[in-house]
Amino acid sequence: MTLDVLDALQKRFGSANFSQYQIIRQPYYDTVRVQTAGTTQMSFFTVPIGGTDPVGSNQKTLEQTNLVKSGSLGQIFFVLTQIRAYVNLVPKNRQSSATITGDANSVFHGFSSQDANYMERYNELLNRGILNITFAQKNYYQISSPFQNASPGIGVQVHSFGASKVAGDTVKKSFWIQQDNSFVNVWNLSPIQIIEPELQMGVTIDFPDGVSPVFTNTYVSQAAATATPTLEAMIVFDGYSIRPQQ
Amino acid sequence: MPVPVANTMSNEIISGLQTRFGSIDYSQFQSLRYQFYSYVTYNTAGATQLNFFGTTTGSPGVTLADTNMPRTGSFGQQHFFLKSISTHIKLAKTNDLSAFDGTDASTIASDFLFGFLNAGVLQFGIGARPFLQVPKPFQYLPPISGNSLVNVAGISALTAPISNVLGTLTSDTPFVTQTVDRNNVFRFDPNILIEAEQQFSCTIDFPSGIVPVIGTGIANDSTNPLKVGVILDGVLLRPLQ
Repeated sequence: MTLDVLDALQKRFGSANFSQYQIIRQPYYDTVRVQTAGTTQMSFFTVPIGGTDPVGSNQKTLEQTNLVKSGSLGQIFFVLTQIRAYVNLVPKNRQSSATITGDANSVFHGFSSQDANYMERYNELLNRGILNITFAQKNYYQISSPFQNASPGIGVQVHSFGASKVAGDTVKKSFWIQQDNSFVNVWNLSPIQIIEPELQMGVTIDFPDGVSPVFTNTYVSQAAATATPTLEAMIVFDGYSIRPQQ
Repeated sequence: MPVPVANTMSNEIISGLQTRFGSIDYSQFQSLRYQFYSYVTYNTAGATQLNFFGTTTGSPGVTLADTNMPRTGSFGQQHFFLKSISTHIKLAKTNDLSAFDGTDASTIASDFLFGFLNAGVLQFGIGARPFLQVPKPFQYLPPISGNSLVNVAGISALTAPISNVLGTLTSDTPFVTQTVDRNNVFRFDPNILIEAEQQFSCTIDFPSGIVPVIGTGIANDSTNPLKVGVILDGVLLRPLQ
């Protein structure tokens, strides 16, 4: 069972060719639910696919993460070129509050009218936090206001937004806030950073100046019912995966 | 001239016949920018998986408006040098902007802000091997094309002659699209060559649960279905004729 024997076996019967590597662009991402009562830290890349999100108690699927091992990217080399931080509402039917899922005018009143203060808290969240990234316990990046400085570069284009005006309601001031969706404003790394196989990573967003914004009951329906929205935050490592040929 | 029996199936003879009488010259290829696209209906009830490039033009109910794929899951006898991938959302018929009454269901903008665009994962594989996994693909992979732009009317009338009195304001129709900045296009860098007859797959999955359409006052599955598509952009390499 010497290395020579293993090498010979691998070359003849192996499922991968470790003498030739392939480079592909492949983002690695991890999503966590936002603690709506406020928190001092959000932790990413700790719960892999199939695990349970400690905040929302939802099982993580490929929609939330493509991490297969806690704290590392596994048996690949990764060339990190961009860091993106995203935070937004989960889709309407996945909201945890029945008040929100059952509301007929959630977008144009519940979140966005002057009655609600969801957008104000969301805007506060975009302004705050420190993204700390460590590799093998050593600090590599500290990015303040990561949801702005490492904006996601994805999103939609709101050309015009509607005011609440259902029958019997007066027209309200309303507004919708979103993150920067321009690709050029993501956090670009120069020089790039190599993440070696099995390297342990630590990725957190910390709030050293007090807990993160509180979203409790910031949703207000037209009938004045309040509710707590469900949000998720995501960190994306965009770059190149280097893997053996098959 | 009779062909020697021993050489009947030789490559030389096939090559000789092809050179003299063939309809295609496999020794020379031409290249051109090309897009392969595949649109499917996003049912108002939602779906656990949307499968792209799985049908060809001419299949039952499939026209060139849905796809221009020559084969199911492959490009047939031509190579494709894949440079970028994007998604696109469109209504099959009309986006009735005037239907907006303040409710979520009265505009498709609700889906862009609070619906399926905030969910899903796109998986692209060649052979049996994954080549791309992208979260929230309708945001991460915006269209390579331009998009409709809206210029909202301001004040449509003032009650004269009293100054500073607002008559009628017509600026309350929401309109939201995918990102329209060409720089946001997801580029394969390095590019990927998909060889002739190589099988590939492309799906958008919702493993955390289906996400129904919110704007059901506009989109419906029968007369005005919501179409979502994936577009592969690159260079087509095909033999000369």
